Amino acid sequence: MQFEPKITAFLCNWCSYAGADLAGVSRLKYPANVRIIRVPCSSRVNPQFILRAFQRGADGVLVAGCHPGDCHYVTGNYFTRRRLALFKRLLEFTGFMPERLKVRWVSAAEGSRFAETVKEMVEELKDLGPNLVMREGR
Amino acid sequence: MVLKLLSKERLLPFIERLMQKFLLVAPVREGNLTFYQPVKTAAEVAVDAPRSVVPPKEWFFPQTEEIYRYATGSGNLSLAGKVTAPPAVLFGVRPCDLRSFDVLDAVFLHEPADRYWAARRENTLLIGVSCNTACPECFCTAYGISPVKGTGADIHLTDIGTAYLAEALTPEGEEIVLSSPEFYEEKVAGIEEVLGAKEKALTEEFAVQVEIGDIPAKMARLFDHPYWEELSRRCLGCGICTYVCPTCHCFDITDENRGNAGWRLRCWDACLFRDYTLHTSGHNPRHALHQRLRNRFFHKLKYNQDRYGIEGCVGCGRCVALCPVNIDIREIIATIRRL
Amino acid sequence: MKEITEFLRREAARLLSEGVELFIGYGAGTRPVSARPLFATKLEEVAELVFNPFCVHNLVKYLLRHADRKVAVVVKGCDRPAVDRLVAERHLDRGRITLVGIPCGGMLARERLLAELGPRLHIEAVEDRGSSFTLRFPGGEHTLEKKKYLMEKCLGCTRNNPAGVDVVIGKEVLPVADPEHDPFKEIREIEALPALERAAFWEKFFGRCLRCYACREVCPACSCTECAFEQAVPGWQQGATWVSKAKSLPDNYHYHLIRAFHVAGRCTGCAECERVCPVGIPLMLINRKLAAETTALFGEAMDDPCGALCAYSVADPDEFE
Repeated sequence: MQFEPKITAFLCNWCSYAGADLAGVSRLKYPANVRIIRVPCSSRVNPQFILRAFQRGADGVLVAGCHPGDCHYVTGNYFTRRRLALFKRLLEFTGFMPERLKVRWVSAAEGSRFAETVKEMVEELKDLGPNLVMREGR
Repeated sequence: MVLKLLSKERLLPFIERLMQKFLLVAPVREGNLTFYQPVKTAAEVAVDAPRSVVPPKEWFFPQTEEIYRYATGSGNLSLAGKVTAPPAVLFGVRPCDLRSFDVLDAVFLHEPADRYWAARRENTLLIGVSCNTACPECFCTAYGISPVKGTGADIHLTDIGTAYLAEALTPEGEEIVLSSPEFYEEKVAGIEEVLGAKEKALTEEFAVQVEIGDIPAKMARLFDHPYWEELSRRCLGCGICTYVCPTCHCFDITDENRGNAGWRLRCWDACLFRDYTLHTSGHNPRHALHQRLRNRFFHKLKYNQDRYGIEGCVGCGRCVALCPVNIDIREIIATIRRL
Repeated sequence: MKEITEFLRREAARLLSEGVELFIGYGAGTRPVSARPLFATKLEEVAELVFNPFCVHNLVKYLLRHADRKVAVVVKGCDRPAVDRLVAERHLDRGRITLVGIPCGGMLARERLLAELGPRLHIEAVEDRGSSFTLRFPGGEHTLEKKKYLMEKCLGCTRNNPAGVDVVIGKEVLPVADPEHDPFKEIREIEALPALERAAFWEKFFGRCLRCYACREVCPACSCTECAFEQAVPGWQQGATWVSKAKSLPDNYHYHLIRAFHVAGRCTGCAECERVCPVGIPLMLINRKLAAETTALFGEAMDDPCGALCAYSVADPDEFE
C-alpha cells in the first residue's frame, strides 16, 4: 500500500481559500491528501499551529495567503512573509526537510495554481515518506 | 550478609550475567554528563561515573508515566490501566541516592500505597556502589549516610583498589551472588580499615562540613522571617533544584485527548513554578516566589521529618552544583542554625 | 580587579545614599570560582560586592521584579542591550534605572577551569593581564590564557565596554574577542548535515530536556507576564495547553523551537540560557542562527523596537511566489 501523505493546509479566507474553492467549482483534479483549515488571514497562522500539525501526524503543512500587496487586511501577509521565511529556516535547522513546510501566495482567481501546488506537494512528500520529526506516538 | 571480592576484570562479565535475566539500568556517560538509562551492552556502563544530573529515583518514579488509556468507538469504551514494572537491576546507585529511596518509600508506600512505585520497587534489584571521589558540594554524612555503605541496596560494591568488595545485604542479593560463585574470591582481612580510611578520605573532600543540629525545631520559629524574601531575590523560580533532587516527589496528573482516544499521565511538577498552587478561581496561595521558595525548604528541612520521621535531604549536592544563582542548601542550613 | 571592586563599592554606597533603593550587583559565591547576584539595600551591604571573571550572570532580568523602585544594576557589555529591549517593550522606565557599567575583560568558563585546575580551588585574587588572567591561590598562582578559558560568547565579543550607562567603573578595556574564533563554525557543521542527522542531533538534546524552564526564567527577552506555555488554549477538550507538563520529545521540541522563535530578533546574545541548562543543551546554536538569519533576511535596522518580527517591509525578500 502506497504511502499517502497527510497535508494540513492553512488557507486565508479571502484569497487562497477562495482559490481552493474555485478549483473545486472548476472541477480541477487534485489529490485528496489535503485537510484545509480556513483562517481569516495567513498572518493568523501561529507557528505553533504548524508544530502542532506535525506533532499530530501531518507529513506536510501548507500555508497559503494573498499575494503581498493584495491582503484583505492590507498588511497581514507582510507579517506572514517575514515570520514564515524565518520559521522555515528554523525548522530546517532543527531537522525538518524543506519540503515539509510550503508557503505560497494563491489568489482567489488562481484555482489551478492551488491544485498544482497541492499536486506538487503530494508528489514531493510521497518521495520523502512520513514526517517523523516531532511526531507523537513514535 | 555475604561478603566477597569481585576482581575488576570480572565486573563486566558480572554485569553481562545480570543482563541475561534482567533489564539493566545503569549510569551512562553522554559527553560530560551522567544519566541512568537502560543499557544494551555491558560496555556502556560507567561504573565510576560522576554524580548523575537526574537522580536514579527516575527509574521508580519516571518523569512521565502513563496511568491509563482509554478509547471509545461504536458505543464501546476500552480502558487499559498500565503498571510497567519489568524485572530490572538498577546498577551503580550511590549511598545518597540509596537513602533517597527510603525517603520516597515513606511517601509512596504510605497507605494507600502507590501501585506504580511499589511494583517497580518490588521488581528491581538494587546494586549500589561506593563513591571513589566526592564532589565538593556533597554532604551526605551530615545525614548519617556513609559514602561507603550500601544501606538499602541488595548488593553493594566498593572499589578497594585491586578489586570490588561485593556485599550481599538482602536475601535477593545473596541469591544473585551465591548463584555465580565462580565470579568471586573470599574476602581478605582488613576490610574494615580500608572502608574506614576510604570514608574518611571522601568526607575530607566535602567543601563544607554541614552540621544539621536541630534544624526542624529551629525552622518552626522562622516561617515569617524576612530571610526567605531576601533569599528569593535571586531565585529564578525554575525547576532545576526540584528536578535534580533525589527526594522531591511532587507530581501533576494531566489528561491528553486525541479525539476518540486519550490517556492520563503523571508528570513531575515543581513547587517553585508559578502555577503550582494556582486555583481555577485565579487565587494563588503562594503567588509570591519567596512563599514558594520557603515552602520548598520547609519541606526539605522540616516537614518531611515531621510527617515521615525521615529527613527530606540526602546531601547529594546536586542542587548546590546546578542552581544557576547559587542558592545553597548548606548555607541555608548554617544560616538557620544562626538565626 | 581589586581596584575595580573597591571603585564599585564606593559607587554603590554613593548611589544608595543618593536615592537608589536597591543596588543589584555580584557577590562571592559559596562554590569555588563562582559569584552570584547580590541585592544591597543598606550601606553596609555594599562591602560584599565584587567584580571578577566569575560574574557571569545577566542581572538585567531582575529589574522586572522591581520596576516600581529606583534601582541600580551592574551591567557588563553583554548585559547592556537587554535593558534597551525591556525599555523598548515598555516593561521598564529608564528614568528609574541607574546603569553601572563595568568594562569587562571576559568571563571564565567555569567547567573548563574546574577540569583544568581541579574542583577544590581557593582563589584569593584575580589579575586581568589583558590576554590572560592570573588567579592567585594560597601557595601559588595560575595564569590562564583567555583564548582557551573564556566562555564561548566572550571569544566573539565586540561590546565589552558597555555604552550608554550612567556610571562607568574603571577604564575602557581592550577587546577580548579572539579573531580566530568563528561563532558560526558549529552552526555551519549542523547545516551541512543531511536532515535526518540534523534531526538526530536535536533529538538527542531535546530528549534530555527536563522542562525545568530555567532557560526561560533567566532570559531577559522572556518577559511575558503570561508565557505561551502557561496559557490555556481555547478548545480545552483537545489539550488545554500548547504543551503538556509531560516530558516528551515532541513537546520538548515544541517548547524550544517556539521559545527560540519568540525571542528571535529580540535576543541580545547574553547566552545565559545555555549557561543555566542543567543538561547542556546548546541553545545558543539556535539563537545565534536565528539572529544571523534575521539580519540576513531583514537587515540590521530596527523598524520596531519590539524586534524584527513585529515589523515588515514591502521590500522584504519573497521566496513564496
